[in-house]
Amino acid sequence: MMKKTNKKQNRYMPIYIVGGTFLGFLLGSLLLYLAKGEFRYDGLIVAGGTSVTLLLIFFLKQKSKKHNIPDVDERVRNNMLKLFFYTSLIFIAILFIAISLFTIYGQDSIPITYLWIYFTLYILTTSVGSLFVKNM
Amino acid sequence: MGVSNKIKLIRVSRGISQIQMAEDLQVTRQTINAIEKNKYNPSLELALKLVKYFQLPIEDIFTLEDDE
Repeated sequence: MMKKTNKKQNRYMPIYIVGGTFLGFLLGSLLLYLAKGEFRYDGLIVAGGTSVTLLLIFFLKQKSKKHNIPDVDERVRNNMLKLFFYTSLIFIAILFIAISLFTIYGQDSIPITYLWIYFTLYILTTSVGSLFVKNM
Repeated sequence: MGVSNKIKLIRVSRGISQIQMAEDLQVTRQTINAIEKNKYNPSLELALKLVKYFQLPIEDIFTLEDDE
């Protein structure tokens, strides 16, 4: 019984992920509206379009699947955990070195843009890494 | 101590493809390949599923090797 429920959850996981991401974007837009009074419709349209495209790709992929083999299993999960662990460790080490250098050179503050770039790099590295790990 | 297995031998002798085995055990084909090449040790759950799948005792499938 428990295995059937897990199978159903795994099957619809991409839908939950895409839906959740779009919901997150919507929430962010709402927060921005509350904070700054402007609602970005263009961002919402892009997010909506991307979500629809990703869902279409998911459904097409499901239809073209010849075998009932899962995309993710225990080995892939282990590899993903290792990826996130080592990536996080490396990025924290780099951040430590960067902050040390900033301190040595007498900088009292770090521009927030640098922090956003660094955070985006981290997300990008883990995302691209996950794609590789999934197919390894 | 390493673990080796005879999964490829058993699978081929029974005429089962990797994809068929992956589908039956609900794992990826790459996992079956990695296990056969001793690049990945399955979890206890997957090892017991393999025992049930092949209807063989675990000692006939997996062997603990001594490090020299």
